[in-house]
This record gives sequence, C-alpha cells and structure tokens, in this order.
Amino acid sequence: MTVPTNAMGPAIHFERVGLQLGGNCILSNVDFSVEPGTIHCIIGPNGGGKSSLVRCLLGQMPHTGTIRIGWGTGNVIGYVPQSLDFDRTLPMTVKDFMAMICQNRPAFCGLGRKYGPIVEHALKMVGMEGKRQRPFGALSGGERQRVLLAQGLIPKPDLLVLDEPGTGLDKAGASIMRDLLADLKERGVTILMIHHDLAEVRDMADSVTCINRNLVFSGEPEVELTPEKILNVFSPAGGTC
Amino acid sequence: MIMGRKLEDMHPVREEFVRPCNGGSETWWLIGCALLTLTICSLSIGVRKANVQSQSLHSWQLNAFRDLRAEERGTYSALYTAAIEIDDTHQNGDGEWLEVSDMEQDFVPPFVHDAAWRRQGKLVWQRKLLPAGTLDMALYLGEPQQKEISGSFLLVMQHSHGNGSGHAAPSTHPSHEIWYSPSPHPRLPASYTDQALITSGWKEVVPLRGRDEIMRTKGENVS
Ligand SMILES: Nc1ncnc2c1ncn2[C@@H]1O[C@H](COP(=O)(O)OP(=O)(O)O)[C@@H](O)[C@H]1O
Ligand SMILES: [Mg+2]
Repeated sequence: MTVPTNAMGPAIHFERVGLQLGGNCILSNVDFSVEPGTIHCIIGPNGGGKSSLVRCLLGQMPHTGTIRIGWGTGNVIGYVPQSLDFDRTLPMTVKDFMAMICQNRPAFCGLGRKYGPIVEHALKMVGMEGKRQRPFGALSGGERQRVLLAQGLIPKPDLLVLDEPGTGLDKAGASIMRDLLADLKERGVTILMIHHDLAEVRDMADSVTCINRNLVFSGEPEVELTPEKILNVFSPAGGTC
Repeated sequence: MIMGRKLEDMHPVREEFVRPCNGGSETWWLIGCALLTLTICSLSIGVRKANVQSQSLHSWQLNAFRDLRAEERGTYSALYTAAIEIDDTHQNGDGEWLEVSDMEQDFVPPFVHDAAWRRQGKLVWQRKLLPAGTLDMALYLGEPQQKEISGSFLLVMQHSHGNGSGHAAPSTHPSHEIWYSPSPHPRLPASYTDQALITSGWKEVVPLRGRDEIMRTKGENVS
C-alpha cells in the first residue's frame, strides 16, 4: 500500500461550546476532544443538537465558547451532510453533481479533464462507478447517500465529518462505508461521525460522545456504552440548559 | 489514544480557532451598501440638471386652463372631444363633415341644447365648408347668445391630405384646431390660415397635458 506514514489528521477540541438559535438553547457547555487519526462517533437523541454541533465545527453557526482544530499535515475538511435540499426534477446526472461539488466552474461546462479520474475513483470507492450517468434525482436514498459520501472524499480530506451517513444504506452500502472509513483511518484521517446505530458505533468507533443539549458522556465505547446510560439518554426526559 | 498523541507531538501543530458565523460582517456589508446607495442617489439628485423646458405659448395662443372662464373651459373640452368624433366620421365615412343639426340630435356636446349648453352661454353653432377646389376644410363657428358668459369658438377641421401650408405653428399640425375670440360676433377672415385668423383677432386655444401640469406645479412654469 502507498500509505504515507507521516500523514496525520487534526485533533479537535470543543471547549464550553454553546449555541443559541432564535432564542432557543440548542447546545450548552459542550466539552470534549477528538484525537487525531481516530474514528469519533457522536450519538444522542433526535434534536439533541448533533448536526448543529457539527455545523459549529464547520463555522456555519454562531456558537459561543471555543472550537480549536489542531491541524496535522493538511487542512482539508470533507463533509457529508445528513440530507440534501435538492430538487429531484433537476436534470443533473451523478457526474454533473460531482462536477458541481468539485470544481469552481459551472456544472454545465462538464467535468474538467483534471477531475475526471478523481471523480471516477471516488465513485468507485463507494461502488457507484456504474451509475455516473444516472439522473441524480432518480437515485434511491442509499445511492444518494453513497454519492454524498464520494463527494466528501474530494479533495482527499484530512478531517472527514459525516452526519448520519448510515441512514438509508443497505448492508452492502454499510459495509462499503465501513471499509472506506477504516481505510481512511489507516491513512491518518480524523473521522468525526454522527451515528445512530449503537452496535455499529461499538464496532468501529475509537471514542464516542453523547450529546443531548449538554454533553452526556464522552469516552471509549466499551466503557461508556452501558445499557443504563443508553436507556437514560434515549428515554423521554431530555437534558437541560 | 496514546498512538494519536504521539503523532500529534511529532508534528508541528497549526492551531485554528473556528470562528462563529454570526453574520456580523454581513450586517456591516449591508449597512455599507445601503449607505453607498443613498449617497449615490442623493449626489445624483443634486447633480442632475433638471431639464427645464418651459413650453412657452405664443402671443396669439391661449392656455386652455388658465385663460378661459369656467363656462368656456366646458365648451372647449366638449369641442375638443367632438372634434375627434368629427374627424373620425370624416375619415371613415364618405368624406362628409358632420352637420351641426345631426350632432345636436345625436346629443353631442357642445352642440346639443342641454343644461350645460344653457349654462355655458347658449352658443349658436354653424358649419362652414370651404369652397370646393381648395383645402378639405370645415369650420364650426359658435357664437354666444349671452356675451357676458362666453366668447366665440371656432373649430377648424382640416383633413391633412398634403402639407398644411400657411400655418404659423411650427410643430406637427393636428387635424383640428380650436380658436377663441372674446367677441360675440367675431370677424371671419377671407382665408383660414393661422395668420389670417390671428389678424382677425382670434387666438388659438392650447390644452395643457398632464405632463405640463406636473411641470407647472413643480415650478417649471408654462408661461
Ligand atoms: N437553524 C435553526 N434555527 C433554529 N433552530 C434550529 C436550527 N437548526 C436546528 N435547530 C433546532 O436545534 C435542535 C437540534 O437540531 P439538530 O442539531 O439537527 O439535532 P440532531 O441532529 O441531533 O437530530 C432541534 O430542536 C432543531 O429544531
Ligand atoms: Mg441531525
């Protein structure tokens, strides 16, 4: 393998991170760290503020507190969003979509020569290479998820942030993603992933953080993911601000 | 993650603080743009030279709204509308000019003897056709029975077959003109050129349009 041994992703430190949106307290006093080159999962109930926390990290939210990224060898962030507001009738193929994401020029100009092989490779990694001429709007939920994943791989990220990437994926898709993430981790990429399947989290995460407005817990999955804690978090009574 | 820590220690770490996106700069950009727009607008308002073009009337013309009495204005407006009707009939019909009696029967003001007609000085109308062989022209002369209320009106209908020669007004010549004389029994000239009418004591009545009125209220006076 041609893994550059010195490549390394960033560490991330959330310090007393809070977020208010429209007078509502979404996050408060969130404190945890993500180690470089690890797979770090964020779990928590729906509406707990996981997506919001990730968007804080991407600099898209008016958060308070400090978010520090200690960059390693590169500073590329790949982001795989939870969903995409996308007009299904838009006449755009998978390839057009990738062109739109990867290049600065308009998608109707086509995919640049330079990006052709890169996009090809990314689609191959998620098992979508045969469907590059399909209309993007006509893809199934799982297929769309795979394309979103492929998009997050261009350019090669040092930090990959994924918001519930497993949603809608079938067994084959989930296994492709697991292999892909394992491969990326081997290359030193830091992976921060929101996930709702606790079994998967236990399986692949190096560390896990539970968010429900506040930080509920953060640590190694074997230690933190006890049945009592999980029951506590996902029962109706939520956290407080 | 001892492994990870070690790696982190081995590399020079560039630390980045994620800046909250609270739209602060956008607010300032927006305020800036608004101020810039306001500045440009106010500057250009000041700089813009108002295109003062006062439409000056000639000494032989009257302002329909300023120089006529209320009753006369009524007659003038009715005549103005009737002229369009007369012209229409002339062009679309067999070249005949409408008879005064016809218009009276068809309730066309100011020819019909209605309440307005009585209020406006009871003008007696007659049609005069120019002798054949000359210009295709018709005159409608209205003389008041009550000279303290209204003067006389003369509607000059001209079908513009060719160039309307002999007219003093330099602008595009309308197919009809309305002339006014303060006399209840005005003198009619031998020929109906503008010049002849003027020397007989007639004055052309010129209407003001909405634009003229706007200019008048803005102080760009129409003399
Ligand atoms: N732009 C926004 N404005 C106001 N409230 C928001 C906004 N985005 C998310 N929220 C609220 O923040 C809470 C957390 O949302 P989210 O981060 O998407 O939760 P999760 O991803 O954990 O399910 C929800 O209650 C949601 O309604
Ligand atoms: Mg979410």
